Amino acid sequence: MTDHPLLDIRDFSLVFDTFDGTYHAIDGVNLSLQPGEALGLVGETGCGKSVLTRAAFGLVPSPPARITGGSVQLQGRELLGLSDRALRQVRGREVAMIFQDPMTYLNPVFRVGTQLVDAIRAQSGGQTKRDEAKAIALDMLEKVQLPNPNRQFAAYPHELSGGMRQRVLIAMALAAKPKLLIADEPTTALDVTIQAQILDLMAELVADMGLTMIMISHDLGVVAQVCSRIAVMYAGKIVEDAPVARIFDAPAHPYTKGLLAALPHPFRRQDRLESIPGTLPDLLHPPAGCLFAARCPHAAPICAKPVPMRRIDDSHRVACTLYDPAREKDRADA
Amino acid sequence: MTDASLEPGPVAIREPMRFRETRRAIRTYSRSFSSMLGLVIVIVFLFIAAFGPWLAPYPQDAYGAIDFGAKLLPPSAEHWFGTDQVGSDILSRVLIGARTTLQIGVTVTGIAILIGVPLGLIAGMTSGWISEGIMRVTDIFLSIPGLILAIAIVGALGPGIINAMIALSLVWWPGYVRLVQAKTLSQRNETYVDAARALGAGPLRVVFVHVLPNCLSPIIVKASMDMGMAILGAASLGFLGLGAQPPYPEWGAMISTGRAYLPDWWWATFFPGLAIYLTVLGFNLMGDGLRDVFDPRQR
Amino acid sequence: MLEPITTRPPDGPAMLSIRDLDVHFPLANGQLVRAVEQLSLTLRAGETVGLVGESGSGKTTVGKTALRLVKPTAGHIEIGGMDVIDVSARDLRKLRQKAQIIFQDPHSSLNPRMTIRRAVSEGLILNTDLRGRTLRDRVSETLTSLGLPAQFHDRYPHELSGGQKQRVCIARALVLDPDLLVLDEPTSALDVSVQAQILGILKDLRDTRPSLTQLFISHNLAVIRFLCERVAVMYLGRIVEEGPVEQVFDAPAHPYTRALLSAVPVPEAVKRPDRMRLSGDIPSPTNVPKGCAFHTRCPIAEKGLCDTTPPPALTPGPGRMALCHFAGRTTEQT
Repeated sequence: MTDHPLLDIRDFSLVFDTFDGTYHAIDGVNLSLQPGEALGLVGETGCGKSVLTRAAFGLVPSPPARITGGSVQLQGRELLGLSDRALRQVRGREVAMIFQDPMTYLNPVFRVGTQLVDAIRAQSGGQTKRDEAKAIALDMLEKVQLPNPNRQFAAYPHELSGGMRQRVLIAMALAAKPKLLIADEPTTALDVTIQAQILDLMAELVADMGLTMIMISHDLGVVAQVCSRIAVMYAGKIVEDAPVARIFDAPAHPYTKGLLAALPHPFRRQDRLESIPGTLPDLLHPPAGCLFAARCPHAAPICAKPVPMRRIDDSHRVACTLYDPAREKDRADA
Repeated sequence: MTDASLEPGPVAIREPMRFRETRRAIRTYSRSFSSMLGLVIVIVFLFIAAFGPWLAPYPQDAYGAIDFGAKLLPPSAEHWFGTDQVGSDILSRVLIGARTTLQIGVTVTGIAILIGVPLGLIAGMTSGWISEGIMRVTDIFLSIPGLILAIAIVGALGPGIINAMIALSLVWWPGYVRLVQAKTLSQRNETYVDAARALGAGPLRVVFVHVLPNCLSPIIVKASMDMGMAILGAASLGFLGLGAQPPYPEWGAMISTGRAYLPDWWWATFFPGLAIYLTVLGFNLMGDGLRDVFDPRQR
Repeated sequence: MLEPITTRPPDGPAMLSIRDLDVHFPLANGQLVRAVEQLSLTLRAGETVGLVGESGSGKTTVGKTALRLVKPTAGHIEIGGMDVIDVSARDLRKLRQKAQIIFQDPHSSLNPRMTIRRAVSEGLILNTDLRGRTLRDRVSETLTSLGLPAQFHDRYPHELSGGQKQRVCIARALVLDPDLLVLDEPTSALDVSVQAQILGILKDLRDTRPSLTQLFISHNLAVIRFLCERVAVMYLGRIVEEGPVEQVFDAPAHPYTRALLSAVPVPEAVKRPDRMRLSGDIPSPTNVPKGCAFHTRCPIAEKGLCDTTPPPALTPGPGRMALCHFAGRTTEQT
């Protein structure tokens, strides 16, 4: 393991100022990525997984959002507090992003090739010549295994299928050879067989290009195909962070366990699925302690105090009092 | 520990959501200075329309009283807005004219809604020649400038305040057909309309229970803006001598007669003009504010 | 073992019987969308059958046509022995009460201006003589039985979470005591933990209402495996494979089924060895390939056979059907 993480997010907190009050969307998140790592960021709707990755790179408008603390370092360089212009350059050259619905990120009135070339030239600050950019673009289209790259280069976005559009966007994102790729639900809008193709492609690219990636998804099965590590988010906090195998075989946090038990399995007979009782906590007035305690089968009085992330071992972190030595003592006292 | 949140659903201890929504709407509206300004202007206007005859210092001047001894006096303590060419107090005429103006706005917008909304619903819910027919006639009306068509209609019916209102109503409804048809088309494809059909709801029930209530907010917004535009239209007709006839206290007609005395006796046109300007502005600002409340995304 | 089958007589009385159904939609540009082609499917009373397919497979059209929300181009549909195609307005009303549908997106399937009590009452007001107190009680009872206590009954849809809204939709259908329930992706818009609750409710219906027949339309194979007894796999408007869920999932006879199953992202750390990837995209239903509709993506397609001759319906096992020239051969291999 290297000592210098590529991305290091520390104590990151963000709130939204809303009509009803202050909404604590992200609270004290710590997350770091080593170069070449592929991390899956998993959680349910409203857990803050998209907001976290967008806000870290200046993509969440403020107001209503307000970053209330922490730091985001990319290769040792602090990103919070950078000017919009500087952040745009970071996003164009060092960090690339792809999103759920590829159609909304392609302009319907321009040819795919034109958009690719323009994007590549913009990423280099206009220094790449048009024909060079075209060569890079065609090369990238080949890398993302788009059939007939020369023909698709001249096509309009609506002439491509959803899977092909997502390939084009991946090509566009990777053309600048970014250090970090953020893929936000990249296959959610796609059909199962097409999703499988795109996931295979992403797994290959991560391996071949030595890409560092954060893949955001609500689907544990999807991230398991591509990622080596999974961080589980709940109500604005990371509750567990471990290698893929540990998440599935030895989940530590009761929420992770709950998620896994709620998942239907395509190749197993299940009579019942366990659902997690209750609903998300009110993030306008979040409790001081564990946010999952109200729904947790193991909740104890100690859970009302703030729960820090704790290391179970080198690669496995969890935010739960079950792994707090003080818990037993607390119980004995009570 | 927060045991209350263990039960399913949003935390139960909350004020009823209806009032919450209303409060949120009021807050959104009142946060904007221009919306509030519009509301204040409209309220003042409605107040004057209701109590004009009692507020006016010389109410008889609104109905053709003549006093050549006092003609074309500049604004003074006695006649705040001055007097016109027959010596009538302009303030009184403006105050009493507000009621006429309100009548025009309400009538024109009301008739336009009564014609336009049903046609829009029919056009949106049906397909084939009925809908085609309605929409093409609407297109024809929309392609002719409204005021010119209204002038033509008044020309045929003869000048007068009633005929002006009829003419304006006849050119005003196509906008509502367009609006309601578009909204109905999108509502018709909403899943809850399918769901209602699956429950056995007939076409009338679908229209009146499921589609129309969801079309109301844009209609209200358009109506409040149209109030201003209809007032402006009626004033234009009055100015051209096709609407209310002097000495009837209508702002457009007042400007028309006062025009002959410009620029030296400016107050005969300025104050009725200011009244029109403020009223139209008020309704438009209010309409903008309502739109922000009903659909914040359209901004 | 390889004899072509013409009819598959069900064991019990048929609740829903679809025969030779064609549904075509003309497009504005003159093309014809062949959404459903020559489709036959029978659901026995009390059975839960899954209809699985990707976008454009026509699965949703089948569900809507079965309830006569869409007019078929040709074919026969009977619900509980009643002809659904040539039906008078009065009989259609009776049908509405007997057969109900639940849609994918609970947010848009409730009228935003109706309280949930009104939404659930609507069907009773339209179809029964229940009024006043009895109506109110019946509605409250149904909502409460689905986990929505009285404090929710006078709320508006936007005050409920997605899972609660879907419960309202289920209540709206069940309050009419239908014999047939068509579920069109009822959990696709929900988070996993909420999906588990809804799936639990639906599975419980098999015990609490044993005579209720469910047609469960989904793209999610894991959900189908959990909930259904039988499954029918659709591709481009046709059922390409049909049979008991466990048999079809464990030993798929059609290559498309196999590809679909191997494309499912499995929530496990171990990568599945028997991966089978389809190349290319799903052809457009306006331009269905000749011969076997699947031959353009099929890894075992034979030139001169699959691209010219429509495959026969073969019986790879008891109660099973596969629309493939090689259906017999492939099962022998597995």
